[in-house]
Amino acid sequence: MGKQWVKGSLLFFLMVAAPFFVSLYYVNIFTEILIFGIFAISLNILVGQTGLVSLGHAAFFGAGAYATGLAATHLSTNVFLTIVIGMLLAFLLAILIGFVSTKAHGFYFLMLTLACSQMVYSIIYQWTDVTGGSNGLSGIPAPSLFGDFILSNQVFIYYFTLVVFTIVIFAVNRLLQSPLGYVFIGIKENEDRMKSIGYNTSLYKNISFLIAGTLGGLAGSLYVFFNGFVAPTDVYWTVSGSVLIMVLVGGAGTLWGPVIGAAFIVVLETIISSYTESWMMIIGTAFILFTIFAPAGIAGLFSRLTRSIFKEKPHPVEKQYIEDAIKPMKRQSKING
Amino acid sequence: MTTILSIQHLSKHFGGLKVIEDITLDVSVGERVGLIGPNGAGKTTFFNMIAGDLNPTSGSISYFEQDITKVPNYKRTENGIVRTFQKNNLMFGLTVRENVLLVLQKMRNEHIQWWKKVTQRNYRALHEETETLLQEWNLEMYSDTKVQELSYGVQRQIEIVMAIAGKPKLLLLDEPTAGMSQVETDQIIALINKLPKEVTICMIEHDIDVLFGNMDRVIVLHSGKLIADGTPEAVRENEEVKEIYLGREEARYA
Amino acid sequence: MDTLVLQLMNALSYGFLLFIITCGISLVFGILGVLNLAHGSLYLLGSYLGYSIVVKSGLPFWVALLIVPFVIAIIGLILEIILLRPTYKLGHLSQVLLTFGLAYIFHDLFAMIWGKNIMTVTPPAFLSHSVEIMGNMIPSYRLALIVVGIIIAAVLWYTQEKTKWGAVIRAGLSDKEMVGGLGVNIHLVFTLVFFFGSLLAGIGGVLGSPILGVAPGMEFNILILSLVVLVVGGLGSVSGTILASLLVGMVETFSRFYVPELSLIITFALMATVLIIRPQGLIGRRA
Repeated sequence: MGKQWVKGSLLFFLMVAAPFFVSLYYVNIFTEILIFGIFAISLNILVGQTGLVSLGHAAFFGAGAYATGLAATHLSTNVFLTIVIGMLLAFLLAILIGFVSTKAHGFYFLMLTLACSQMVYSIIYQWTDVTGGSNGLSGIPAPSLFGDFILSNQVFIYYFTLVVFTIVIFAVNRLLQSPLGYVFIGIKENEDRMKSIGYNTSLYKNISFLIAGTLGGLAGSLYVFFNGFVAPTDVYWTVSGSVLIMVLVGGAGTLWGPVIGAAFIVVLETIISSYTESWMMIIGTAFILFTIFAPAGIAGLFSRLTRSIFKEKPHPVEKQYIEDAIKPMKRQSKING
Repeated sequence: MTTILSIQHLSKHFGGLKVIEDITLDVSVGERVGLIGPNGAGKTTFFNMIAGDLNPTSGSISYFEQDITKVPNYKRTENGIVRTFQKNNLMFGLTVRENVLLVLQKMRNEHIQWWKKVTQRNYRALHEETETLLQEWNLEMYSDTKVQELSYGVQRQIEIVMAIAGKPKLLLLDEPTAGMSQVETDQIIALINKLPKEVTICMIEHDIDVLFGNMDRVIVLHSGKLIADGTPEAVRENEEVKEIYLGREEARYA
Repeated sequence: MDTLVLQLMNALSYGFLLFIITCGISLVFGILGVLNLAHGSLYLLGSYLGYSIVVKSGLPFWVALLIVPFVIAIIGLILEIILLRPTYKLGHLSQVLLTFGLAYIFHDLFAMIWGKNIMTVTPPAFLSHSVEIMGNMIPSYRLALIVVGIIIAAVLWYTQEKTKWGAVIRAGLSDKEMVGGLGVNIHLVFTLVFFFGSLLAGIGGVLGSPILGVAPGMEFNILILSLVVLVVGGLGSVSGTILASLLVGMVETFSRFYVPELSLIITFALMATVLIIRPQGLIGRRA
């Protein structure tokens, strides 16, 4: 435990010091990594921890982003209020979509989350009066912190995001290894057995969905302040695919894996894309390689390498996770042929 | 004697296939009941319906005089109906300790808490209870091994210990000694006999020796129907039972 | 009322196009258990190759229609052999992820070869005019598409229901291991099914390009539409896919015409509704 604190604090101070040593270009990349790190962490609670593979997480990101953007434009620029509004919409959406989706398993769950997410996309795309339609939401004012202090430049936004990210990491770290976190893992491992032990697994799947969705909304809210702009393309299903890649390449079921995955994708999309147009090909190739050779993701590779240093390994991730996640799919596809 | 379980005209059909047909019986608190019958007689299906894992086609099930026919399986477990499975059905990717923790944290109602890690420091009582349980049933040495890495026999023990950890009032054991050596079987039986007298046990068994000497009562199922219900000795003498197990010719000479 | 007939023809032709595309992904999913998320990419590749043949090389449309599907089918064959066959032991979800990675790779490959502009393919000359039906001018290409669609649907339906190959497919849809146990070379079946699915994607790509255009990124739109059809129609039957394709075609076309602000929402609401009420689809089989 002591070692974790030391490493964490070191990392935190490095991040705080960063803007003094690197250009704004890199500060922005860090901010983006932190935001998508939160997004990936949120999906991991659903996919890596509870074993519910969803292709509809973009819906919550979009809900948070649009709600916060609209609140900032029409209501108030107070950063806390607007973010809470964003998370609230994501929360309500998660209740709705979760209720409907968690009744399904495997392939059907995947398709339902996809369908629901695309409905959200469609609503955003077509409700031009409110959301700006395909033109997106622009001219979003900078958030204000306490009354007059405006987070007007990217460095302020970076620091704010860093603080939020730190809080999220703290909280999720505890959640993943808490009794509730173990309930999620139990459901992923063997849902039927959990029911026989006395757990109302539907309820817990919904709780997992709620937490994941709300945090996804938080990521969206932070994004809209960072980017100043949000468009329907940020809610399209390929975004759901992208964040799923982040979780799987980074290492599902771990705390930092999703963040590493987010960093991987963001770096490819921003830095690498200035050298070559074909960054998607690189992501695709890496994804294929990881799926075949390193299903535990980067975090898995890393922990294999440094097992002695990392004493606390919350959830050893292996191929079993993938197999277990798809057992209901296999069963279902066996039934359906 | 208090009736713990009352089954009235229970039936289960899958389309045209009648798996369980019109079973009526009562079980009293503390009874040790053995359930036998040839393969395909419907024993596990019967258990599944009592546990709530399967819905009956018709009939009713009452538990302590409350109708539980429509109550979901997890709720039944919360109220004391605990089952084991014919095939080891554990959280294979987790350690033995983690499996037991999942049962105990539910029993202690600590399962909703999300803000503290499940470490010994934070949950001393929970971990102590787990340790005690594992020591009591001689599984201590496997505490931190993943279930999937353990032998079949040990997994079977864990299967039963998990059920016992759930402080059952009605314990449904589905072929607990399946695939075990004599030594292992004796261990399991000792385990079961250690349970308090108030615990009602219903056990599906193929091993006749296990039933005789350990069970007060034996129920025989055949093709979904209840064909015998009495003490082990009475059932052993039952003509119909002999016919089923030994065939019509042999029964005449048994 | 005039436009109603036109819209109906649009809906039918669109529906049959969807059918051709979805049949490919449905077959592969049903038999191999792999949801090929690169199926839209194969469709788009068909469109791109068709474009190269027709617009760049100036060859007639029917040449493209003849060659391109087989090229796509062979590419599919190669993909199955080098990527899917060695990885079956990883499980279905992993293979779905593999195809997703493939889609990403294809996306950039297309941009490298054909650039990022939106392109059009004009239909063959003899189909570039309109035909009068019930007092309406209907583009003859659309009519041809409907005819072709009906023929392909009939052939596929007949094959599945009445022939030995169909029996193998139907059996494979019910129980793969059993089929393997009966001495059928399951690996060969898998590869052939993937070949055939890709063939259909290629046919769809060529036939669809005059109607849907050729643009980067559209592979994801096509993919998700075929998923809608897949869900609505259910697995395991050609007739289910036909019904669902036409239904989705109708819903899409008419909602776009009458209530354009709601058209997208309606399509996905349909998908979600079917998943909730009747997850096996309209005609799909369920244990």
